[in-house]
Amino acid sequence: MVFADLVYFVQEGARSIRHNKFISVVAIVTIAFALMIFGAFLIVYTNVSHMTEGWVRQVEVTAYVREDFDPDRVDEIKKILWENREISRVQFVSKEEALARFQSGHENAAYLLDGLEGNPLPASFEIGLSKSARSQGAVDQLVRKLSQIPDFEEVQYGKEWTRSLMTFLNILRLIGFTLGGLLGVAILFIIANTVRLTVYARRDELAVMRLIGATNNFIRGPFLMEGLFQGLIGAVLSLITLFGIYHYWVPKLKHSAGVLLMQEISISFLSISMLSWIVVAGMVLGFFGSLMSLGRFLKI
Amino acid sequence: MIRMVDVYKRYQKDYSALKGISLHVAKGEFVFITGPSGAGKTTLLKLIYCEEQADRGEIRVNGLNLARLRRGSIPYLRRNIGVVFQDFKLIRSKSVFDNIAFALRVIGASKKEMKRRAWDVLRRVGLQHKINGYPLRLSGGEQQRVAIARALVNDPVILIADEPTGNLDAVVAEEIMEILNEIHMRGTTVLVATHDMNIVERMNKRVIRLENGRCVSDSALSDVPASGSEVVGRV
Repeated sequence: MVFADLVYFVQEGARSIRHNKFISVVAIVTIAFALMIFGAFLIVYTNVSHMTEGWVRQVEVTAYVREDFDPDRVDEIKKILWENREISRVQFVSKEEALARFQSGHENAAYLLDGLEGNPLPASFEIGLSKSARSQGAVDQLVRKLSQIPDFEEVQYGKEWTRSLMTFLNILRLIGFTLGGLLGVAILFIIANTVRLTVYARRDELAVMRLIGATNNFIRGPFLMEGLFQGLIGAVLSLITLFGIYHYWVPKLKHSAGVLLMQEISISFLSISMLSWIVVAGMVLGFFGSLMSLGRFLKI
Repeated sequence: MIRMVDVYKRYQKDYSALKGISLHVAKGEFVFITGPSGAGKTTLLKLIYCEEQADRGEIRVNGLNLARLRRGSIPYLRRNIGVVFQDFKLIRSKSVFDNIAFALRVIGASKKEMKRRAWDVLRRVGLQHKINGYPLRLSGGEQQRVAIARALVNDPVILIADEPTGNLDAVVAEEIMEILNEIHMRGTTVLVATHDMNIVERMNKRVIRLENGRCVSDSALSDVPASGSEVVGRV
């Protein structure tokens, strides 16, 4: 394909959108709606998974050390722990700190310790988990590994809580991918059918092109460009609308959801990279939608 | 230029459009294909510019055996054949110039070349003053002249016209036929399908008559056998 052809395709694609205003508007609005639904889904998905990942970050493993543990070895143990990439945070809690925490947390039950001699609470390492530990198997494996360190008396973590959380995350991912995939396919067909309208409206033009000896690629060019432009405009339109809705509704939603969950929640808009992906997706969908609908009009 | 040997074309199981057509059109000839509606005139023309493929028989156009032509080569064959229709088939959203220039763009002509040749061909059909007009603002005769200009702009070796005067009144039809005749005088092979016998008689050219998918007479031959399959006309 020569450069002159490409320039011609771009000019013709743009001209065709201007000339077939009604059908172009229908196609662009359809693409915008479809991508808006997809974008809304992405916002919900990313925020829910972000929130759940936040909960996972809160899952901690606590390793209690033996009674005879030498506090001078804290740095050495920390070094051993840091060798595991599943670990994102390590904090040593000495016996004294443990006692202080207990006392501040149970002011009304301080008498429980009265009868005891000295400090019965063990020192411990509080271990935070990194992203790579966000599966049940990975956490179990890490706990088994830590249990083998002789300085540790016992390694504990909220197993049930983690398990439910992980299951929830996995289901969420599965639903996300399935729904996202289905939406993508549905959108492709919607766009293909809408673009087919524009192609159908110009079938005479296609027939003329074939008769004067235009190759199939030459005939396709302007239509593919048109699809690309419609996808681009549709995607930008969908993002603007989506941002408008986000801007208007999210403060209200945040308030009611905050009351419901009894905690401050943050709902973020799509990231820049996701925004660009939606624009690219719009263009790709418009392009392939055109390609799909041109097929049967291009018989030789 | 065009040779058909025992050509058959069937559209549906029970409808044969052409039944054993054989004919030869020499280079530079002017031939009318006549016959009633449904006789197979349009099908015969479509076979020549590969809009349809024959079920049986051999067709050679400009030395090429169409049955052996690769799909990808069909557009290049069509660039040597200009086609004119009853309904003109102009692109309404494009100006007269763009309609004609489009045929040149397809073959990769430069802008300068497009302007020069479009102007030249519009002058030949007497429409240079309408170069910036749009098809829907032109009369039927003018639209057909634009269509002829488009068919001519690539200097085709064959010009095919399918009922070119079907939508036009007698005076305008006469003008169109004069243009086609002038194209023929310059050496182009011209094939015109029509059922307008007035025009055919006035033009005094070779006439091939089709009926029911068979070739029933050919003015180039003194004697036409009843079975069309043996007919080979030659000038």
